[in-house]
Amino acid sequence: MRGMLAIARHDLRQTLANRAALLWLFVFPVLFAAFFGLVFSENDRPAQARARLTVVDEDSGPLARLLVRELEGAGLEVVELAPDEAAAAQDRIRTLTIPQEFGRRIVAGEQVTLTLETDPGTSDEAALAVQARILASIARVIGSLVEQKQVAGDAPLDETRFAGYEPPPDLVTIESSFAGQAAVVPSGFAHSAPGNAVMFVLLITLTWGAASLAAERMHGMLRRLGSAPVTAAEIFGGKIAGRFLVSLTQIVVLLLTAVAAVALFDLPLSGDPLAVLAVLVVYGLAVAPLGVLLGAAIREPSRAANVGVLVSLVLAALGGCWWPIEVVPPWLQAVARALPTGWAMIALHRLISFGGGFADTLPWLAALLAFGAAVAALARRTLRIA
Amino acid sequence: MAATLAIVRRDLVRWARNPGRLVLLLGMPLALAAIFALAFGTGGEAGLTVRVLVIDEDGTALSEFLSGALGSQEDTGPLDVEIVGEEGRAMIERGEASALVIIPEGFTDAFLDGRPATLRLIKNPAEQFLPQAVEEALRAAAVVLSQASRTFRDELAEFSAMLAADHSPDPVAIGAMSTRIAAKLQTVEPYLFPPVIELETISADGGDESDDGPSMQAVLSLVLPGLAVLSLLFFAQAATRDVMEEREHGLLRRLLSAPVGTGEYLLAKCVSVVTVSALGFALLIGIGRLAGVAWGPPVAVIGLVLSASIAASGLLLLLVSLVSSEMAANALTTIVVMVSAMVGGSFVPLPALPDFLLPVARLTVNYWATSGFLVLIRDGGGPADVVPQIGVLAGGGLAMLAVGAFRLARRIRAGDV
Repeated sequence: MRGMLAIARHDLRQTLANRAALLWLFVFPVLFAAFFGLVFSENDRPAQARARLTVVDEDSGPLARLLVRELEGAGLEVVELAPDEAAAAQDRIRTLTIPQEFGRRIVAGEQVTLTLETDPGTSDEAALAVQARILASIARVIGSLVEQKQVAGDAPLDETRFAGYEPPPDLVTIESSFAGQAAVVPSGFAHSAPGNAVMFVLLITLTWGAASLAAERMHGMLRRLGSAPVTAAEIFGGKIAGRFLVSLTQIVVLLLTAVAAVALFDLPLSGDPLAVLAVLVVYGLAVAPLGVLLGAAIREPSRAANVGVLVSLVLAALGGCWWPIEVVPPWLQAVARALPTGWAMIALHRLISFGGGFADTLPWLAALLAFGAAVAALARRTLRIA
Repeated sequence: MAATLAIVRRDLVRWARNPGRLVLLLGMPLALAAIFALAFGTGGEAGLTVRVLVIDEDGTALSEFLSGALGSQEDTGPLDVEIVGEEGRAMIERGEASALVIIPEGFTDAFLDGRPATLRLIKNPAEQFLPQAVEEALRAAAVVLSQASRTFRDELAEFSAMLAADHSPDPVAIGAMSTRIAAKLQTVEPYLFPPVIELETISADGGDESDDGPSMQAVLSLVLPGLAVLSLLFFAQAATRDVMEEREHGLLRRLLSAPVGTGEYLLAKCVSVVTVSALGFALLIGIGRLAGVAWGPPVAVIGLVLSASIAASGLLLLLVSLVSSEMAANALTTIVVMVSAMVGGSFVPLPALPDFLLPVARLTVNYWATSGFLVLIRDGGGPADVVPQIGVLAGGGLAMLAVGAFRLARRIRAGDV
């Protein structure tokens, strides 16, 4: 046991002494989480209470104004542009154009087409949400037409009837809430922080963890270690524990950074930090043998590191570290639920989004530990010490 | 010149003898681009499924109609609606659906009597988009129900009274009510059938919005240029790292003791780095073409590949010239490559980058190369349209190559390298 701990401590010291390793351990995870958190908080999201819509009202009649009021009432942040300003205007995400003669034509029962122009760079999901709000507003305007037509009876409907008209409030309403306790939707920082933590713990284990072991094998250091008074099991355990200690150091620093960021910048992150720590620690423990397996299977250190980068990025992407997993096809969601990165993300979502406790994560942690044990058994067979 | 060519040939042979490195450098962007395409490209088929649970606590004909309308329509788009019992609450708590809709007891009575009626929606907090989409759709449905309630207020009240009566409805009254409904519908028919206002969605780039979502080729075309430029920087990083390795393994000392001048050596290194980077980049472009990415006119693509390779090589050589050890070179080049990739459009498509990042993005090789490919792929541009990008990349790249080679030459002559 002492031999194992000594080997683990040595591996930790070696890693922390490497400046490039420090970058991947502490700097890049924070940089990536901050960057993606910022970028995806910046884009307008459907979850946002008021999504922006540019409106070009070429009609300006009472019914066109009624539609604009309805759009504002539907939770859209309406920015109006005069028709002559529209072409030159920058910073438009989506633009709704109300054509000339809109009011006169719809009162006469002629079908009118409103054009919604969307920027190809905006998210499809946000566009759909905004579209639903516009359709609801259109439904209200049509409802107002129907009501007023009933009042008018056989007499032709006059557009002036709608000047200052306010439709009565909806009788059917929606009461919306979130399941769980926390209700932190994983967008912006609430997704980038756990996603990057999971990705970088794996990345450091599969790159530095694998490359350093491959280097020890290549330079015969592992063989020399085998001639020292330590058992093969201690050496193997020490290698796994060394990679775990590196992950643990990384996890503690990242978690403290997240706690400080929440306190300083009021970031929308929640969840019991100790339970989050526990999930990440179990995850670090589960992936540590993967670093040993890779280092044992690949002879050249730089190749082991390159394979480690590739495997880490692929597992991170497929496991839901990069984007909300619900937006990918069902078969890819099933893939995510079969990967250690996916289990870690689900467990973290249980804590951060649902506000659950440690007990809620147990099935996923059990899966992670089983995975770690299976990979450890494979790594033990692969790693030749003497 | 012969010595220069010999060094270049030796470098290229070393790359050819290490196909594993080549495969890994090419494999990373290709694997990630493939995942992006699988995740977001539907190949013409709608790939998204929104699972919605419905609990009908009201148990009336109207609530059954509502839940049935959600669940049994042939074309519910991406909606996968499941009518459940009380277990639905536990299911949404476990995150097994995007949303749970509850039609509460008394909903139908309130609707028929013209009183406020509320549908309850419980959303999955672990999902970012889909629950919100369900809420928006439900709100739109609530508007339609509200309008129907107002339009047919008298008839609904009469229908409610019929239901509450302890005798079966009078057929004559039902007939009269039906006639009134038909008359009302006839009056407002011009506004409703079809709806007098329709919404057409178009993309700002001129294309119609498709319900099917982007094809896999469209997603590849959006993400592969950025990832290929990142890979180009990795090629250049690996090629320039050789300079430091040769120094640390004593090869540089031995080379310079042979009849090889410092200038010849550095020229050879510049040519090697640019050649390796350009070949790697060109291979990625070729594989992308096979996967269906229409890169644009060959002349423009070749111009971008060469100028981007010069820029990437110049940047990496300049960085290597600033440090004195392989370890420091690794750290510095990695930081610059990763930060450039982040802000320059390799990880996030350029159109999605926030405006405040654009001034920083314009300082990167990634931005100019990726924006050049976007001009060709997305805007259908020709060679003339990417002259600014090629100019910035080639001009900046040559300047960086010159400064980097000059600094390295000075250090080699001073015995520092």
